Amino acid sequence: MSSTAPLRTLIVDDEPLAIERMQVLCAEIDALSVVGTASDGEAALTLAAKLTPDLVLLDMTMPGMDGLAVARDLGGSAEAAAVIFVTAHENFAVEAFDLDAIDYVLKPVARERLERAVA
Amino acid sequence: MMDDDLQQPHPARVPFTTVIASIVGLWLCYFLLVTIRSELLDLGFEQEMLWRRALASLAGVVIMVGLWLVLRLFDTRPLWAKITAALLLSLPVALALAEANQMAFAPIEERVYKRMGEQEGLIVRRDASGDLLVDAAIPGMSDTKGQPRSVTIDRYSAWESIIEIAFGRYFMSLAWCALYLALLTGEKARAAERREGAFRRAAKAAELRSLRYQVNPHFLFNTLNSLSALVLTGKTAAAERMIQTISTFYRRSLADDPTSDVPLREEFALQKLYLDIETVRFPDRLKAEYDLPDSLAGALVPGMILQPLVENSVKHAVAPASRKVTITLSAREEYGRLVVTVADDGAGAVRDAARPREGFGIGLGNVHDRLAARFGNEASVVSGPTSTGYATQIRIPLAGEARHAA
Repeated sequence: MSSTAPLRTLIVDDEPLAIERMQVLCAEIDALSVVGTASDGEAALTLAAKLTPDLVLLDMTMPGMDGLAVARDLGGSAEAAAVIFVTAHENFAVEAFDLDAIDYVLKPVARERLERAVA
Repeated sequence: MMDDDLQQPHPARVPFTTVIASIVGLWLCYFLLVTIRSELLDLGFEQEMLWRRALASLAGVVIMVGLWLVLRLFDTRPLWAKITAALLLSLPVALALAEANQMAFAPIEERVYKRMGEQEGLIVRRDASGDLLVDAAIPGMSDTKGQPRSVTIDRYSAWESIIEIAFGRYFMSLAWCALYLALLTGEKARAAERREGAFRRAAKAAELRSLRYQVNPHFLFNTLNSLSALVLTGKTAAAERMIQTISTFYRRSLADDPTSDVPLREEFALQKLYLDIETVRFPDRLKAEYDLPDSLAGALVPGMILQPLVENSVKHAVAPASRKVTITLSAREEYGRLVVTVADDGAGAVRDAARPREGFGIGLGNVHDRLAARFGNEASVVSGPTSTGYATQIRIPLAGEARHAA
């Protein structure tokens, strides 16, 4: 993947600091290029429809639509973005993979772990 | 202290001082009674009799201490063995006591007989063979010269007189043995009571420990995530502040003896630390307010009792909300009881007024169980939606400084 253009990435998290952190990490990874951020499920879906990102780094627990609901809706489109769940809860993993998430990483995720997830 | 009582119990022993007191008491009793008796009968030789009696009593104390040293070897044996030991051991003890009595009084015995005889108009003397002669003026028994006729009384052998005294001393020894066995039984009952009390306390402590509330582990990971964000974005001052807050929070929440009470002031301070940390995570969505009257700042509550309630408010009111939610911790006194309220104006509660929040029950159940274990029927927890959101109230007996301040 590293030879191709970086993945256009959407960061979704309801915590501002978590978004900032992910932005810093993504900036350090050549394979990723952040195109937008959203702080709740509805905003994420709107933004995804507009930006058609390649990858969504998706928080699990959010006000309104949670991460699982967002992933389900994203999966509906033909050009579905790949989803990596980012959460402090390890107990959603099974449901996450049911939704064809490409990976499931735990907060606070290390840069190396994130690199491996997108490799 | 508690652990000592729970160790394999030492066999119950009658304390040495108690043993000595019982023996000395017994002989003091004997000494006084016999002295009173001799005063009443006026046997004479009061001074000499007194110190000889004291000497005999002292010997009695020493002999009975010896009895105790042997009898205590049967402390852990069955009752029948102890009784048999007492019956058998008292035999040599009685003989020894009688012998001691004999030794103490032998030198004076003769004179006493003489004196007693004189009082009755008799002459008591011994002949060459050691037989006791009593000269009695019995009518019709006088000899030709009108002199009193001598009556010879067989000399009491030393053994006979010792056996005679030993017979009485045997029951005296048995009486003390009975007292000792009663004391031993009392000690055993007390030891059993102590052990039972220790077990009860340990069980209570274990129950409270098991109910100790564990801070939601996700809190730590989310907090570390925020902290990492502060570090990665170069906000070192904020990062340092947060590290200090987290350290203080965990130090206090981990160090607390789960069975101990803390002043409400400290419990509020702990929850403020927690909410300060959560405010870093949710800067635009979480606001915390505290209403603790000075008069109640010293009132005692079980440590960390508010933690599940505050966590519930963050999880069920703040996390699902896109707007700002206020969590309010307040305390008041009501009819001599302490009422502490954790309330929030989060969404969801009004909408779902009919049923409690999902997953709310675990934390609430913990609070309920802890208060029930600690206060029994004296505590209550009431939880439910309010006109503005959701509130949980705990009511416990008012204790601590507050009682005087209020």
